[in-house]
Amino acid sequence: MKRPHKHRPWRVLAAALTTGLALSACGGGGGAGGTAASGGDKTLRVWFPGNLSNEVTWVNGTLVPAFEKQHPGVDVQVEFVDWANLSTRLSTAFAGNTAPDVFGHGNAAAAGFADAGRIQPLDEQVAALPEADRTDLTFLNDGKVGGKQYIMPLRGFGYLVAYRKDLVKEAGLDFATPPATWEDLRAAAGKLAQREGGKVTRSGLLMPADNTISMSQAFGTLLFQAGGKFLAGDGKTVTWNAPEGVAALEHLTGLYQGSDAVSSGLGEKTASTGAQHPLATGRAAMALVDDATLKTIHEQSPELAEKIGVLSPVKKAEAVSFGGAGNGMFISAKTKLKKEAWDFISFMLKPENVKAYSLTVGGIPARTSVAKDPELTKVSYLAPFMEAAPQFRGNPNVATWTQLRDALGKEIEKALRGTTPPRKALDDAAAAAEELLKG
Amino acid sequence: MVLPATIILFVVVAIPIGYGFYLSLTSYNPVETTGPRFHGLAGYAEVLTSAEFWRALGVTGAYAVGTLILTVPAALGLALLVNGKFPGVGLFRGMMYLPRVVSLVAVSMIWLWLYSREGFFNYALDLVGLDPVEFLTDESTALPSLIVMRAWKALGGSMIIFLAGLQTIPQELIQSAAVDGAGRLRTFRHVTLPLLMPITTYVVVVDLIYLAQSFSEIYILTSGGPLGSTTVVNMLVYKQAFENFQLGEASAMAFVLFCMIFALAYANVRLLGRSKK
Repeated sequence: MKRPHKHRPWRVLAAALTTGLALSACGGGGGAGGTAASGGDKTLRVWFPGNLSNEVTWVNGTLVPAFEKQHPGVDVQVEFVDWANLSTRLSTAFAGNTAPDVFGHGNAAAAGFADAGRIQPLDEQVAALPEADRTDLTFLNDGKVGGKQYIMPLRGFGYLVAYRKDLVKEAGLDFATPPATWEDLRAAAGKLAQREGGKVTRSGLLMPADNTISMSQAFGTLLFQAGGKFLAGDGKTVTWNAPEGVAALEHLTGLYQGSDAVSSGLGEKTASTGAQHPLATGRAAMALVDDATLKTIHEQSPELAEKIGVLSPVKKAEAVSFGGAGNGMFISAKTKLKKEAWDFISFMLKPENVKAYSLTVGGIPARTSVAKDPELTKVSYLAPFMEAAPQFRGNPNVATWTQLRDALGKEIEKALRGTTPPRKALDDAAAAAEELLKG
Repeated sequence: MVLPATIILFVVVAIPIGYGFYLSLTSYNPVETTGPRFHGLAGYAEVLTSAEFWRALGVTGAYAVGTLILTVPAALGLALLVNGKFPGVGLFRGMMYLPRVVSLVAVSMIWLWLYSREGFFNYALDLVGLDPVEFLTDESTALPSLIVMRAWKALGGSMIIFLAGLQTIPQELIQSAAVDGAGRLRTFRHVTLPLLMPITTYVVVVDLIYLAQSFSEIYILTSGGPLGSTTVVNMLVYKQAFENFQLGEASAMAFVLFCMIFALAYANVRLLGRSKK
């Protein structure tokens, strides 16, 4: 017998404390969303994902004061929530009715929140935007779930192969004609890799393999390049184990395994590691990196900036890569400040703020017009990603995507570590995913 | 007089445990608006038949026992060393105790760097001409690396407890053994060690209870990987609760672990009682 219950604050308190029986660290919620502060101001609570100091400074010092000046009577309270704790914080906040009015999250979370009725559709607000604005917002369509707009992407991201020009030259390669296919890139990686006693000491081509998420994104890049998809168009049928997927995973595992392996460092954290990234330390000659990681390398190892080049996506069937809409803004379903919440989001998406956001945080700007801004196009770590924006493909917007991705990521790790053959790994992941898709 | 304490205990202990138990009997996704749905013992059945849970329990056991095997003899040895009076003994004791007072999160962050490819241990290996080791990213070395870190953290605290135990041993007994012709080793084996049994039991069982609840250091250093080789039960509870949003099943797991820890605590009390007799 199933008995649905309404949430009450004491339940949430009790649940949180009970979880504390086993866990030593848990996040907590704040006050209720959309409240009236002293002096009659409306308090708009906004959660930003991440805690980059540049972003904190810009949001608190420039963005929020400018918004409050334009919207007298609205007091914006911003909280920066570490990415690692964002889902935890949001889930407890939803359960306890303490979710913020506006919050940021990755695009991958949109379908799950929409399915659970935790976020508002934004179609009416988007329809009210001038036509020129709608067409200018590069990643608008990526923010749709089941045809409805739920997330307003603030920036885009993508993966491209970055390489060390000095190491390429040293290996006798000339990227004036850059690698264009898997075979070209693999051959270049073979020449760039260094080995000692059968071990790869310098990766010819390093793929992101920090954890199961980045492993699934590396696989996604190759899957799309092979002409495959994660799921069929209906969003209910797994297709990652189709021949294109098998070819992609075999290609990926081949980089790490065998006597001609060209990659090492499975499980090593490389995302946003700056000066510690193997490309910066010289332990990798080429690496598939996202824009944020390349930005940290440029910032922390400025002496290498001139030595790093970026390749356009290579292909097996199609020259594309994993990417698309990055983080964006949602409006909580239960906010009492729907208008103010939308005002804040649309303020963030003004061209001048989109530009400032990209310069401050990095990432592909959310507006096509801004991507042509000379100040941005001269940023060497950003320009190649802005150029490649139309070639980025993202994950499917289905409610259980994060769980599907975890199921896939676990099996990809097994294949990469050689404990399961690629085809079996993909079939096992598909079997687990189909159970999840059945609900 | 006891009413305020009773109320506080009821509010912060009994209600959460009671509600947690109720949650363990439900299917509950906090992101959904439907709230908990009662499904009896199905969650427990799912947990107890889950290979992932038993594997995590095995990892938890290996982690706890491995840490104790390193910590207890080393802590006892250090306690014997610092039990004497020599210049700087106070400073030495203080330094050994330092890791205990530093937050486990901070310690984990430091060890994350020590174990990294560019970290101190690989630098030291390179200096002596050895290949670098993937301490935290290789399935065969990740758990032992965690054990070494946790043993280092626990060493000072256990040493101080052993030291306190050593200082309660009547000197007359040691002197009598010496008069009877027992050497240092025999005195240690037949006098010191038996008299330290209650303390040893206490250290082992209390540390086991703490170690069975480990989470933060594993979350920071390996997040349960590679290939689940460091996924302890609490890591699995966290993943189920806050990554898969299965709060009911996570609560059931937490309660199974709670029962096991309770059994350990009970065994501690019984063993201590027996030692006193």
